[in-house]
Amino acid sequence: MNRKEWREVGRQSWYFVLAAAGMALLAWLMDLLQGKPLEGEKLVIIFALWLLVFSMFIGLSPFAMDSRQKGMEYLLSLPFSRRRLLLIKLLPRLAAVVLFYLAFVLMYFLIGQDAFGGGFTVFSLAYFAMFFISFSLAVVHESFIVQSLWAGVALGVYLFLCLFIVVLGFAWKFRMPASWIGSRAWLDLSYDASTLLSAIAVFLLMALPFILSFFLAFKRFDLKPARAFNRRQLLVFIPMLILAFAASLGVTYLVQNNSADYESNCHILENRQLLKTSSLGNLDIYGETGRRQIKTGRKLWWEYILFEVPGKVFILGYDVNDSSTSIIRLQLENLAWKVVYSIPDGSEATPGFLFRQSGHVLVFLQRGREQTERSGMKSGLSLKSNRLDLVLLDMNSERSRTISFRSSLFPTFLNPYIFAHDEAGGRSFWLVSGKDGKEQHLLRLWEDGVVEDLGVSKKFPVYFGHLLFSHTASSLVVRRLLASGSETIREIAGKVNVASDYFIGFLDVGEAREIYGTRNTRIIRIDLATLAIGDVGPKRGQVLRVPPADFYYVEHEAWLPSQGRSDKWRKVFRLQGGKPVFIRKFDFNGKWPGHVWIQRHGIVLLDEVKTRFFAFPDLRELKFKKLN
Amino acid sequence: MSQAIIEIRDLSLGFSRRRVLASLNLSLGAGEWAVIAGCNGAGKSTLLRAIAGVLLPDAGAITRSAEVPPEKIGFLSDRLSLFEDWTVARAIDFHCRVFQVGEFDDRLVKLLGVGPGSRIRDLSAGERAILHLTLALAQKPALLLVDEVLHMLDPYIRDLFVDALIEAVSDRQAAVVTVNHTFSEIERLPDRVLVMADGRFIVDGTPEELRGLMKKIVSREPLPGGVPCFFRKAEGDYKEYFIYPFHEEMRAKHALDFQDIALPEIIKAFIGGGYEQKRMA
Repeated sequence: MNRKEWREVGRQSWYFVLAAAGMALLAWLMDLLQGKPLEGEKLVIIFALWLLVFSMFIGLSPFAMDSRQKGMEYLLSLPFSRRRLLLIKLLPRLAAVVLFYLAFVLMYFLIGQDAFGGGFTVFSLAYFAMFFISFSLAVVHESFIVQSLWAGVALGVYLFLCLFIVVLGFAWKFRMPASWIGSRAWLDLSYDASTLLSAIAVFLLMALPFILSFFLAFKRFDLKPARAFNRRQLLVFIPMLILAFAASLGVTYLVQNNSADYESNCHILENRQLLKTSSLGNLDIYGETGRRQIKTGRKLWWEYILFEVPGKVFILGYDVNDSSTSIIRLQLENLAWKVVYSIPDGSEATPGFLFRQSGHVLVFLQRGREQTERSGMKSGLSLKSNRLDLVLLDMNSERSRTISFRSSLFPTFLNPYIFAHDEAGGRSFWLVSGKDGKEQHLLRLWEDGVVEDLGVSKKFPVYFGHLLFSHTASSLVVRRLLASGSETIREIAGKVNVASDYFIGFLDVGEAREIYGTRNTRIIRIDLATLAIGDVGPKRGQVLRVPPADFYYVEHEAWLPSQGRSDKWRKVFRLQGGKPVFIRKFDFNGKWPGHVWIQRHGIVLLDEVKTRFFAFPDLRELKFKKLN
Repeated sequence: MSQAIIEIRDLSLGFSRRRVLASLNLSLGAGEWAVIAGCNGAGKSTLLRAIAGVLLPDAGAITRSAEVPPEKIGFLSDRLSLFEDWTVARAIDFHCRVFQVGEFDDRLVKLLGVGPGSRIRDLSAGERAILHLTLALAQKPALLLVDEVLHMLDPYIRDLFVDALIEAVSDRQAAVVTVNHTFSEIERLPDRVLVMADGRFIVDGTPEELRGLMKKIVSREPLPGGVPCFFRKAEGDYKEYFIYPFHEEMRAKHALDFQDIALPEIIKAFIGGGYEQKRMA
């Protein structure tokens, strides 16, 4: 009996190999006709799709041949228990499925690693799931076509449930609402070890009801119509599926909720203490003497934002329960907290990383949701109406005011953000940039509600020393903004990048005398008084600005020529007077994900093992009790 | 009867809403030959399939003694199920391995001129029946279940088939259960005759007991009261009355010609009576 099954599976596998080879040949011929070489990725994708078909076919086939050959009655009269019969059917098929998978893995790593992006894990899990689900439906109907339809539907429902749980797992892991997890979460099943582990557990647990119910029902399999068998299997399957679903949720919750959370934000405060947004609604402040905890009692997901005035910090929290977003003030002395501003119902503010601080004023853009048409980007604002509000929150008095602006330019804006605040002719203005097609569109918003068009820039603009730096395709344009309009004072040819303000939350550039950027592969300095450009040195890393107007250069050990390899070290330099001044070297020894995060008051160093903190200006390492 | 090798207790089995076997009981001893008869749809083949393990009971139990392990049950279904793409040689090889048959006697198959390379699907019904019987006999069965296949065979092969069955019973003390619609060939063989109707046995006895229990009266007149008529058949002006259960005292009490009848006719009368009861129900 065993030999019969091995022969049958061998023959089916051989047909499959021939068909796969035929398809590969066809793809090669088509590429040949178009004058292209056959890509490994294409071969891998063809093989992968064909594998899914194979796993379904081989899963559904155990009794199809016997039935087609009118041998079912003979088969059931053989001296085997039903369970043994099923095992005899299962083992050769499982071996073939595993063997083909190993061949696929080999092929994938040899010639087609880019074939799926991040979809390798989900493909692998779906492949085995397809086999087990199909196997469990092997006698669902006499017709193979109907069986295949059932297998397709079952796999669809199965994948939906599995991915639903995986998405919930991500939500638990990152302490964010599940609705924030993108639909492409299935590409991130191997995001980290715990996610991979829980995904495998979920896929296995959810597949168990199929295969177990089949084994249990098969104990009483006979020649009666399939309907009777299906009813028996269904009676076992449904409670098992509910149990498996609950168990999957439990396992995912346990694993993901307790797994390392790199999303927890650490902010070095001005007083060299550390604020950590560690869990939903809770904050920790670490000092040299220990930890103080703040429990808001609300399910707040902390956004990437921190603003400070003496004695207070302001952070943005998203309430998972009622979907409201609020600015929360925390008194550092007594840890009292208070919601000082809530985004009104039906409105939407720019994302947290586009909030800005100017002196003791927190400033951001806000738009009524009913007037906003969401773009494809999760946190973006696409202004399809001509109204935009600028909200100013005084961090001392904790009072806010709103200035409304109207412009026909707003509807074309995407992700508008404020990048400067200044005065001209005794009037305050804010400079706003928004994506308009492939360019950034620049506007000046006056405090009296007037909107002034400042044209476009090919890249993110910056504003230093009362000068606006914007980009054309081939030059950097420097303009002085007047009480009305602007005058171009210099155009610097070449592809010049000035350290962008996009992720910098502070508008106070102080009395900046110089700025730094890059031109081609060199670091350059621009003197703001003369606009003279000086060469600083080769660029093997990133030039970054730290508020108010300090510039740093982080040199990477593995920069562009060796991309894809983890850094062994990174060096931090302060850029001053046209020279890089070495401050500190950080060793990672190639450990992923070695990362230097430069903040306003210091550097947060993340590596595989732990997080370390270094305070400006001397980058002395800060030690916090009870951290890590 | 020798010690039972198979015991069936309260066996019920159905398909969807149709109950085919209803609380059926049967006990069979080693070397016993039982013939099951009955109208179409009475549950004969279903019963055989249940004993063979091809169909599983909805209620009740089928208990086999240690002398009848699964590999010692030979089963010839009326569907003559085998893997049709296979050759005769492959089917024999497979069957011998699965049922651990040491020696395979292929005389009957050869006698029909069936070559080892012939495909199962290309065999005639009679050839397939003989192949099946040969495979089943090769198992040296302790229990041989033979569904109605005799009608597929020509008279010559039918004799060979019956002889092989007789040999199995006499040589190896195999219990044989056959389902038959024609009885002329096997009238002399069975130890027991069971007649089924509506999923249960309505008659269970030896041929002698049945011959004694059923008589026939041919008459133009209606039967007098007190004579139990199981089945009545019209033949021109005359009517045939099948009296069951018959007692010798009836001859003295009623001046009627109680005729002895042969087993095939007795069974036919039971089957006819079964249909009549079904109609009335």
